Amino acid sequence: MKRLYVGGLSHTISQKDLRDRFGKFGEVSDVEIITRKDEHGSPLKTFGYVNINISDSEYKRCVTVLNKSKWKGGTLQIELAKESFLHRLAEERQQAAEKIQTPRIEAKEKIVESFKAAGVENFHMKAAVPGTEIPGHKNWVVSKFGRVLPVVHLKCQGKNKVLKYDPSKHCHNIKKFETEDGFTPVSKLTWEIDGGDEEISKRRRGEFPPQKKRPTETKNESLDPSTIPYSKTAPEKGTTAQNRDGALHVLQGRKPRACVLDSDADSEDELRILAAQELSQNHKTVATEDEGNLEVVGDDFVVKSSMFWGRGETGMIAHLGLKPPEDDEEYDSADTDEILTRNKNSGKAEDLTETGTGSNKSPVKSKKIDGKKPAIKNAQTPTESESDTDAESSSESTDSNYEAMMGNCHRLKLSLADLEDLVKNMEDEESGDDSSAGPSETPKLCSVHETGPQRAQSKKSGINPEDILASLFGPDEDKEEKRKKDKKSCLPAFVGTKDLFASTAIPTGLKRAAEKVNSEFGEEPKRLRRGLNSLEDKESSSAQVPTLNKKDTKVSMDRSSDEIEITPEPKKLASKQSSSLKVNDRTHSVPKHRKSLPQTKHSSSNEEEEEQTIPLQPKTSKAHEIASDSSGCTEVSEASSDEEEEKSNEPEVASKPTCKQINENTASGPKPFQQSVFDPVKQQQDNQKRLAAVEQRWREAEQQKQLIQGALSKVDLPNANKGKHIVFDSDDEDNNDSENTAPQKASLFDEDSDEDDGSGSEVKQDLREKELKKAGGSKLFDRSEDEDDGTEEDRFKIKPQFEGRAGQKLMELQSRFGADPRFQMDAKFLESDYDEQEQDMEPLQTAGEQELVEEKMKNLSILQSVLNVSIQPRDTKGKIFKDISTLHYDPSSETHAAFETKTDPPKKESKAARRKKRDEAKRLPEVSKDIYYDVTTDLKEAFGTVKEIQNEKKEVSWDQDDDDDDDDDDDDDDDDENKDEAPEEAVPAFSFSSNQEPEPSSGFQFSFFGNDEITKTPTTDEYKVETIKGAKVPWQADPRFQDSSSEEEEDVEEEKEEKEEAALVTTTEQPAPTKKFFFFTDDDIRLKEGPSMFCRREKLEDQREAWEGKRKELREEYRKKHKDAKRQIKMTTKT
Amino acid sequence: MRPLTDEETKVMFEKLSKYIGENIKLLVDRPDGTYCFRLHHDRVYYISEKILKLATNISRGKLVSVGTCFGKFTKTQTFRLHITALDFLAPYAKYKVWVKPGAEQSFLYGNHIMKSGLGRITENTNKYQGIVVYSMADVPLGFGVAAKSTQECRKVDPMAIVALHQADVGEYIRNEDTLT
Repeated sequence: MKRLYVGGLSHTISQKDLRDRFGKFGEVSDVEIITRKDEHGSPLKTFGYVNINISDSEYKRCVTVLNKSKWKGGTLQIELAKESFLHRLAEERQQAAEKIQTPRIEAKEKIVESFKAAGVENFHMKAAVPGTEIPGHKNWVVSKFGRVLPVVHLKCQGKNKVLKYDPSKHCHNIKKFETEDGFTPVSKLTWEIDGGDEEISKRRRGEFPPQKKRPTETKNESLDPSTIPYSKTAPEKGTTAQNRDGALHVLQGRKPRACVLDSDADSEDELRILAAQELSQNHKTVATEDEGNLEVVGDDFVVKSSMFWGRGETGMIAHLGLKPPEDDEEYDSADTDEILTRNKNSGKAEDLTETGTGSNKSPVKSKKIDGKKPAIKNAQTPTESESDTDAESSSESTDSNYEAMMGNCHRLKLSLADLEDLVKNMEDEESGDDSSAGPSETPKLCSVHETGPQRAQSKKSGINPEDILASLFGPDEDKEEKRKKDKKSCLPAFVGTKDLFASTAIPTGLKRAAEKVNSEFGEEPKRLRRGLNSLEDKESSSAQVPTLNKKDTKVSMDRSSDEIEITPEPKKLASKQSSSLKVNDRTHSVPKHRKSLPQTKHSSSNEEEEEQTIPLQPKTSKAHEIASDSSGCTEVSEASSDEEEEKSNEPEVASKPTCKQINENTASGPKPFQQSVFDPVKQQQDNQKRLAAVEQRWREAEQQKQLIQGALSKVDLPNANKGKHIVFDSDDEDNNDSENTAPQKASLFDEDSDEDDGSGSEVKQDLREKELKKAGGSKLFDRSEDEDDGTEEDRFKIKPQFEGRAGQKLMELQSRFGADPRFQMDAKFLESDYDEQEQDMEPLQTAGEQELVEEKMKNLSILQSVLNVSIQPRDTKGKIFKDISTLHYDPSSETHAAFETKTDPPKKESKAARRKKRDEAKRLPEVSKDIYYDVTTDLKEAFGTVKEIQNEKKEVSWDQDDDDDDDDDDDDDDDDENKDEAPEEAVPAFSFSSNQEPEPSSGFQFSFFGNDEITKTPTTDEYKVETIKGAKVPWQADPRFQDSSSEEEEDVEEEKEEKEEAALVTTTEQPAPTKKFFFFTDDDIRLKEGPSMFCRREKLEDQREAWEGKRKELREEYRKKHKDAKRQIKMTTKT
Repeated sequence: MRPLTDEETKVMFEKLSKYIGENIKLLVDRPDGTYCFRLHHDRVYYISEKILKLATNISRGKLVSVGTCFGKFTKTQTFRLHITALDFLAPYAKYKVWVKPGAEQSFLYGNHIMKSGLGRITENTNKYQGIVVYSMADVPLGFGVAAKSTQECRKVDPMAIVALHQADVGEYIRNEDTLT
């Protein structure tokens, strides 16, 4: 079977021809003719394939005969062709089928059999050394465990080497699996986390929520290889596609208007979707930064406030809320920061409120306790009052130092259990306390002495734990936390008090306590002050109950100035502690005065000598409160900063009330006490030294300040006289200072000697003296300070005469002449030339700026031409420059009220209005009582023509009453229908009115005879209107209505006529009397005429006849009309 | 020092309007005082009226700079903006381009901005539109011209230039001697 290619055939050849031609050489099984054609269909080339069963010899003969032979116009070309592909396919299939049929196992079986021959069973050869070749099988080797393995020849990748892998050489690697049943199936190897239905746990388990939009990412990665380098540039792209997808979602959520360009592969559809999103959510664009993404922002993209002049980072932090993160971690951290700060703030706020309530309540509580006091007076009072005062002092201190302190230690808390433990521990100690305090409690004068230990107690221990517990369980829960804190800070000091009391059981112990206080005040300045406060409080409470409350309120009022007082506290303490020293610190005086207020109050009850100071003190204290804001503040801060520079280990230096300090206090509480026990004298001396140093430092600062002040004041004033004054003043002040300091130092030494003596009575006296001196000293300072303050306040006040523009000029004038009152310039000086100056100024300005203004206008016009936009020059006066980026809503400013959306008030109003409207709608429209008649015809004509007819008409009108009655009867007969009330009513009314009306034509006479006519006439009018309408309305097809309407019409017609008549009558009636009055006179014509109107002028029969005649006509006419109307209604209903 | 002629004003405004559009009005007609443009040594200065008065005391030869230099007129009478004008362009810029932190330095060295360095761009930016360049922290870095419109920016490959550099704040150091 061969397949021959026959080329060079003529186009007309047929299969049969070929078959016949090749049939000579063999049996032709199949002939195929193929014709190549050009585009026009004309054949170019024809050839064919012939399947022929031909022998080789025959084939040769065929080729020699037919090749290159001419046949039917073509030169034949015969070659052996490849097999037809269909044939080939069929063959291949057949082969494949055959292959499948022939089992492949045969080879394996062969091997197995041959192996068996060689002594190998199931690929295992027993008792064979590894490495021995299987006899008869070159490539099979015995390996470990007698296993028979093939030697593998591996071709190296890319090289032409062939590696031979002999498993027997690596047989030590092979391990035999233990065939045990303990296998865990693979499916059980995986483990699960039961995390519930949370998002994260789900993800961990590999369950992801169905994603909405993935096409971008997948497309990018699958289709576009060019994105890969791009994504590599951005580090975030390294993450999975899913991640990016998430980011994309986030972005879309975040900033609707900014569309994200992932890369070039954004399909059109996506863009469209994005655009739609942009449109739908018309939010402001929020900036987002995604590393890999390009962002497009709208025109109204607001650059953050940190935009200009590079405050970049800090600004960014502030704006983190707005600003999207660079990466997630950053955002998270920032978030937590925010949360932290928020928590802190909230905590602070809470604490603040708590303290606020506490301080508010404290007076109440103190009152309560005071009320209790007289009953328990003796042994209990110290503790009671102590707790009381402590509460107050704590509240005060917390108020004053609160923000600084609580900001840091607001987590400081104790549990109840702790407190209980403490109570247990302290119970034995307390017995000692009571015993020591009890005896020391003496009548009122001794209260000063009492305060010694008490003060120490309060200083050291702060609060008895029992009290704390009591208060905890008591009704007053607001103080709980405060006390806890206090207690915590005071805990270590408690031991100290015990020791203290042990040593100071005798009254002389007071001195020691003072010493200790001195030694300690450095470490615990704040608490000392608290103690002092408590001392005062206690004193006042024991002496004067009412003043306590007063003081409390004052304290709370002073809270504003408390912050200023914080810094000088240690110093103040110093002056208080060694009050005999009387340190001359002006800075101290600021807080001191405040303190002196309550002090003097309590002392006034005890000692009358100080009473005179009372009126003075409050004033000064007030003044200082004010001054401390302006001037005192700077002073204090200076002083404190100076102190801080000191390296002399003085703990006062750390005057700032921080948490650190509190810790310090707690830590150093017991320590100084021990020191003082051992070495009191030395401590005393140290303290003195410190005080001296402090004083020195303060004075230096003060001098410096004065120098600066002087220099500054000189700068502004060109006058030489001024300088003198300043010099003189400063001298004076210095003198004062020195004077003040001298006696104080003396007293300091006195105190020292006293303390050395250490006798109780002396100490008592000293204490009293101390107080006296304190008061005196403070008084002294008060005066000086007071003056200073006064001047200073005045200095910075704008005096009324210097206000305004004229005032400025006046001030300039005055400054040239100095402060000498003789040469002071009044406003008089200014007045004379003020106007002239003004006038001079105006033209100057205009002249100078005219050009600029012109230039500006020119520029604007050019700009206009450049931009092709109309640009209006701004009103130079109207607008004030506003930085839009800093624009915030300010609720206080009235102009910003426009930004507020008012919702409620207008609504309410509208409701009310609506109700009103509804009411109005319900109410019938008001009909004015006045009736106007339009007179269409000329009055003159009317008067002229009608005169003759008058009489007749009048007669008619006069009959009317009767006629109407008749008419009504007739109507009843005719229309067989109940009469409507209205027409009946109307007719007589009208007739009546017509009778009475002198001149209806003129329009206003109805009012002559009261309301009756007026009300009736409009009703008739209305009727007329209704009936006319009614005839046309379809629902009135009801005959009854129609009848009535007809009747009415009749009546109305009649009325009309009558009306006319009446009008005529009236006109005729009053021709002559031109003058008419509203009221009747005695001889009024109307009175005479009136009665005649009630009489008939004609006979009844005549009238009736006339009427009968007329009536027929009328009736017919009306019937006709009625029919017409009916017909019309029918027509309308039909249509 | 003299006021600009109409022609000069027009040329300058045309240039400025590429960056800030009609916001030029806010420069000319300022609410916080009178400001004007003055030509001095071919350079245009934007001066407050007060300083202008003070500057009259200095002779022409000695006056190096007064107010803010906006740019200079070249010999061919075209106006060229200087980086010193950035302070007045940035607040009023209509079209902005933000560069990524990595590309900031490149831009500040005087290179154009490539797509890879483009962090954000104002939408509807046209080709050859004047733009002000910001860092991602919204610090103005300079200005230039958009080489591609926003739509084109989406499609170009990362190394394509999207904004042409004209001036950057790095010039304060690089051209310290010529900037006035």
